[in-house]
Amino acid sequence: MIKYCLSLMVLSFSLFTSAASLDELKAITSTPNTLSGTFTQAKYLAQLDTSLRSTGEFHYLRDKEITWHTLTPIDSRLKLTPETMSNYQNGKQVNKMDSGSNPVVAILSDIFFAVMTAQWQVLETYFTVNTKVADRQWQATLTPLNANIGSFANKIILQGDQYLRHITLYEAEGNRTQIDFSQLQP
Amino acid sequence: MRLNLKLAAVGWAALFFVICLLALTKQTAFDTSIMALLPKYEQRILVSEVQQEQAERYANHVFILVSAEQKEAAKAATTEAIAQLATLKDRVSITASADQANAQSNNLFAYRFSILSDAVRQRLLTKDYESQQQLALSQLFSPIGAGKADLIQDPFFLYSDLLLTQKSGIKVKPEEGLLRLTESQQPSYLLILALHQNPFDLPTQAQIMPVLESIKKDLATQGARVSYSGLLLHAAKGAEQAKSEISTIGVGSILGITLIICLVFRRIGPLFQVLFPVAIGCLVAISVTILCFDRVHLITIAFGAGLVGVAVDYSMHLVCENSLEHSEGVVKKLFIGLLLGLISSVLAYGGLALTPFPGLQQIAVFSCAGLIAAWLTVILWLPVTMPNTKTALLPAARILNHWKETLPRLDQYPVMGAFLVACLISVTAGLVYFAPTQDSIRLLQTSPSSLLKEDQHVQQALGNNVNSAFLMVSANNMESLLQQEEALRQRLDPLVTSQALLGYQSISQSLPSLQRQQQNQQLVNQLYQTELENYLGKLGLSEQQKSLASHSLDQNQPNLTADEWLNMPISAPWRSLLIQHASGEFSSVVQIIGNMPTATTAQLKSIALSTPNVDYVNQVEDISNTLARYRAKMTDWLMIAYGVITIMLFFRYRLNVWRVMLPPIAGSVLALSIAVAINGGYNLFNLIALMLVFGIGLDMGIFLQESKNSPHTWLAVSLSTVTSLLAFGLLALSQTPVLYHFGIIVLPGLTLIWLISPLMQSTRLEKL
Repeated sequence: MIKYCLSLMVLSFSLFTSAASLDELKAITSTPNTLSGTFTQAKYLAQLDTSLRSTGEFHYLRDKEITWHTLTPIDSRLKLTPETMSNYQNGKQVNKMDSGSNPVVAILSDIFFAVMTAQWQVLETYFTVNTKVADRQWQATLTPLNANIGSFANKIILQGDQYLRHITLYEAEGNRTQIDFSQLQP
Repeated sequence: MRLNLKLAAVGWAALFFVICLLALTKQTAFDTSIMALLPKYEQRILVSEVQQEQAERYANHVFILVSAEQKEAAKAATTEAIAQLATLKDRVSITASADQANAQSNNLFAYRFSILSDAVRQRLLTKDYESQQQLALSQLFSPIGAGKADLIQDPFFLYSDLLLTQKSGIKVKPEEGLLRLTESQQPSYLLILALHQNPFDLPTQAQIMPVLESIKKDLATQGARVSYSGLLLHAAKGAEQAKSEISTIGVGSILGITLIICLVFRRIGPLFQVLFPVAIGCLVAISVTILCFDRVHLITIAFGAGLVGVAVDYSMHLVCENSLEHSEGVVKKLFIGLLLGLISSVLAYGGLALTPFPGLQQIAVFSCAGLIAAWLTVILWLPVTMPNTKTALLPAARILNHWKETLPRLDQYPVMGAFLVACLISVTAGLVYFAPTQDSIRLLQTSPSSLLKEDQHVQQALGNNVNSAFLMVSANNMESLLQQEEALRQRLDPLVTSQALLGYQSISQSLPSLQRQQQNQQLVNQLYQTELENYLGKLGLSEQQKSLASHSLDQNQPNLTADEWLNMPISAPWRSLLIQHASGEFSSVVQIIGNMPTATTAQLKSIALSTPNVDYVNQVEDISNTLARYRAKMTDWLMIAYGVITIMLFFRYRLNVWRVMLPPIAGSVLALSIAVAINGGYNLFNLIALMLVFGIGLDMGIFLQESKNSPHTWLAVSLSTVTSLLAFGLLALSQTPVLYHFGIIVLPGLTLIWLISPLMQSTRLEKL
């Protein structure tokens, strides 16, 4: 699986030659009403020079809900709706935040929704989006428009074909989160 | 005598010019705020200062909401609105975006161990370290996190928790240099205008309103919807409404008077003679009011429009009587009646000045000044302008008199009279004891419902669900203020948990007291001592890294002081809740979110009563209570006025005093009954109107009694009644509730008095 991903990435990089317009991207990407799959996440902490790996499954209902269920090494579920952000542990809700009254929660959930469901218009309100498209493969580099987003990520790279396959979040102080998706099922 | 009169006339002219000139030099605002009519609250000075501060904060801002179907359109419309508003730079400051660089800067990071969210604090207090550790882990593995993941400096993610639980008062987020609403169906942006002048300032209204209107119109053509919320809109609408209503009433009254006088006298001279004293009276009334008060109120002006009805009496009598007598003889003949009329009216209106109601005091000053000026003009100036030739009895007088003579006289039917008086007394008693009273604040609401709806729409979109009631905490210094607030919150939290209260907002949620911050640090220290080793060990951190983390806690224990907090952008939404008094004391407002059931209100009140330095403040309730209190006072004052004037007139009319007093009393009681029947209750403004009915009715009775049934007096009385009715008839049609409640009394009241008065005349010709 990882090999496949890596080879795909290598392949992608070599093929991305020209900057494409968002319209092209929109033409390639598809955002079904529901999508589920599994993910592998590696969070690299520069300070400790170590990577924390986690795996799990995710599920989304477009514009309604995203569930991000980490299964290893801990059981933790994050549920996002456009209005709220809640955390569950071992099936029990441990906190719930309201995006209406907290701007930080609002921006975070906005961006995560947009990334997961390829809402390019929303992403453009927060980032400068540079895209490259080649042979039904694409890559988008998001650079934050203002410092507000900077505390969330300095740069985000999205890659995929019909669906989003990889996310790389470049965070402050050299930290970086790499997420790979697989077994995607609309 | 003649010379003295002339001297007096010249003296009056000089005084008139001095008053008007003085008034011209004074800058005065035209006030439509109904709140200005209300007395200063009989409360602790701290409470009223806080109320004033809160009211001013609302008063001096305009919230503008721009929305459209598509985001791009909404954004373009917002940019266009900003461009148009830029022309108002001298009058307003515009806020279109948050200070983005600072909005989420990391300046709270240093305080991550001393400022804890309620949830974290609760977990640490109950030593539920397991949950805290679990949460930290889920943060660590979460794909999205606020703040940096830093296992050395903040292994338990306390800072990210702090960021995620910070609340902002209104539901907006900064987006591309604009403020976007987070909880609105259509893409919507917010603009905030801060007025440099108060919203009642007429030049401010005149400059800003056309721009706001043109923005609304221009953007509507682009498919964008613009909504406004702010006192400025209500103030401007009120001023416009008042202007239009007063001019309809004024024009209606003057047209009516002109028409009737031309019909009755068939000359143009009397028209001038009737209106001139009224005009002088109004000018002096406004001038004196301007000199005595800083703002002239809409209600005063409206009442003043009604005053025309009283002032016109004086000149009407003189002019009517002049048809039969020389000018000098007329004054001599009418002097006693005119003087009694003036004294009774001035007593009645002047009494209003004794109430602690600023609005009523203004009406008292306005009325007394206007009446005295009109009266002086009639006595001193009018005779000079009058022809010295007698004319025949006016045809109108003859017809009216003939009709009057056919009416029955009450003193012919003593039993019937006694029965009617008994009825009147029981109706009065019934009204006083049983009629429902209406003291709701809605009476004072002068804005049209469309404007109120727009206001509500904006406030809802902003998520401004703040109750008008609030709790207030006061203390000598910030630390004690915050500590008391925290103590109060311990009593409020159970109400929130039991859902009796939707929520609240208080400063100590953002800035804990230093005492609380030190407690929090101790709690975190305990967490580290018990859990750090085990937790970081699980994550595979080395011993050196663990000791670095524990060292980082020891190194980072600063407390956030109030001064530092006030300088941080994070305090911006909270600053309006903090008031520093001139006395050096501090107060803070604990805002209540959402509506509360009455049981909760009672609980909050009892919490406030049992907690020192905490007050429960509900301005809406206070205003209604105040209206009720002054309604009761006004009832008393009406009774006293009737009593005092009856005694005064008794010295002149002896037992015939009932002939003067009965018509205004009967008219007032019946008018009030009619108003109660139509509106289902009566209110303060009905009673103020009864005061005017009393004044005009009394004049009528006095003149009829003085003139011993002269046909010309009856003509004058009838003419002044008709002119007053023309003026007040239009008041009853007013859209402004206060004016309507005024008109609905005066209209039937005066008609009835005019109909009842002839019944009171003596059948015998008496020598007085």
